[in-house]
Amino acid sequence: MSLILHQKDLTKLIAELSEKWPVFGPVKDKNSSDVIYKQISSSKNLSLNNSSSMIPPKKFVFPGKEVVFSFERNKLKERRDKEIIVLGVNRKDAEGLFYLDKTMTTPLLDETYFEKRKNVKLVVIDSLAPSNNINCDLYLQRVDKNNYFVFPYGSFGEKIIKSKLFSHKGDVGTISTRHMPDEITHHPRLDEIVENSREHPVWDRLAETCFNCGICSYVCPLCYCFETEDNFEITKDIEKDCSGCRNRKWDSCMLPDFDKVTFHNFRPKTKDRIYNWYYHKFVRMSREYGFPGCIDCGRCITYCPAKINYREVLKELIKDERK
Amino acid sequence: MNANNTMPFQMKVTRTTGLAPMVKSLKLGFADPKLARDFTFKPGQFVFLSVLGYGESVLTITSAVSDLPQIEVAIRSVGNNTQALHRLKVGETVFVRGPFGNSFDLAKMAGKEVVIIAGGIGLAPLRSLIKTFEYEPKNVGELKILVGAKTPEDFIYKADLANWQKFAKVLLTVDTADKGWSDHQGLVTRLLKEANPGSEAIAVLCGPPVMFGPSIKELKLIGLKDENIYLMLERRMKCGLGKCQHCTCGEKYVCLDGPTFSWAELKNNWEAFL
Repeated sequence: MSLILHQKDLTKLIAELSEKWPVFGPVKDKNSSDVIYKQISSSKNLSLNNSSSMIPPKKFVFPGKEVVFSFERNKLKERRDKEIIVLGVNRKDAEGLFYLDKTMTTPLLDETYFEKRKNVKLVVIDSLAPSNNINCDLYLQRVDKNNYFVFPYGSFGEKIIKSKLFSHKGDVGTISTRHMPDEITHHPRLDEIVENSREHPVWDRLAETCFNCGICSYVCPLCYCFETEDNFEITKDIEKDCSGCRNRKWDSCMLPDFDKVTFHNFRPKTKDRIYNWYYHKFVRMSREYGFPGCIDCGRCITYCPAKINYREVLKELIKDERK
Repeated sequence: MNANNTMPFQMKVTRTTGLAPMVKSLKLGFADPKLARDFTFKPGQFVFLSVLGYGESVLTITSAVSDLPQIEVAIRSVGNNTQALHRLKVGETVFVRGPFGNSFDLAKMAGKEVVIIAGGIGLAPLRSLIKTFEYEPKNVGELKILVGAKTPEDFIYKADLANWQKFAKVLLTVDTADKGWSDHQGLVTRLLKEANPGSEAIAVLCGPPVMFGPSIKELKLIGLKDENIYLMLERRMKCGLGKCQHCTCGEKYVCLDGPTFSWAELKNNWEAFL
């Protein structure tokens, strides 16, 4: 027996969930044509079908700017997060979150990330069946025009499927779920090839076109570098009644000052920063965690103002390595 | 260390000492008696120090483990937070995260000739190791301390440098001498000739990136093995947990795998001294 949700009941499910939790989903923006995650109360305008949002759902577990803690003079206040539901994440992005979870919780656990992450409940919607590399609470597999197969995970998933909207039905048949790993980003020796490519002319060429803007990092589901910064209320005397917060903000290793300390910049050249971006994703991360820092979503290609395409870059490195 | 590694704990300033122009030492005690009992670290490890509202600075603990339950740090006043740290008076509060990072292989150094090579404020991160040897001389065979500074007044820990002569060979050099200076002048590597270490010696270096290349070259000529040359690296750091990516150095994280590395670990690293 399979657990089923009818397509027409998705909007009712969202309405039910919104009564208890804020629910966010991918919606097409009216002004730009970009898909953006926004708070929703129905399935109207929901943009599913593998369309890629401009900013990946990482923003819910690792926001562009977040408070680590706040303080009033010398008293610290820990941040408290509320449970939210992020619904309509596609399988690829859900895998991105799974890998992000791994990097932020192993070998050391980052408490600021973990606090937020455990309060984000994930509802994945995709036509492919769930893979092992997903940490979600509910998985809706769209099997035909009218039906979703429903896979609940953990106590939160079990809680959701208590709704009358879900029904049991005889097996409707299974859908092929094989998702072939990409031959470029999952090339078996990619780490070695990128590591040995430091003298390859491609890095000089990219350095001439790259704007050092960091967009490729901001839109990447698996870029997670950050800056911390203290902010305080400007009307108060910081020495006497300092009141403010420590913030964590997205950073990008493509920005010129990323590795600058007072008297030295450890990575002053654009060429070295670009190489490091690839090195991190395809060498350091692959060796540290066993997967590359890329889910092949293509966001960095879409939004790069210099039209840099990592697939073309990697293809060239792989091709020239064979020579 | 706090259970939550991104939340700092409180310490109180118990003493402030001027070390050199722009450089001050702070001695800190724990506000929480339980933490005062439980806190421990290894020589070479670092902490993040913060005056709330100004940010965090990465500072290696400069005192020895046996100086607990107080720790010392040396701060050069160069940014918002370090300036705020300089303004602190005895009894005032700082917020601390740590300790983070690796340590030195003390077992390997036992009974061996150890050469410390420091440039400028690079002496501060090595002081914990030197003080460990001072308290327990059996931890080292023969200790040589080579220090370079811009001018004579830029030497930090001047009192210590005089004191350490009792148990170590201390050699000093300056870039620019003044009238009162009759000692060495020139790069710190020039002191190696007088220090005359044997090929089985262990060297530990900390200083500006430009110091590393010439020093390693000299030490290799003397015959030191790659795995016996240790470098303490500086990088920008924001987390101490191997996440924020600021301190990466090729395949290494300076905050997790370092800050101390052997030359054997670094010689093939594409950005060891960039």
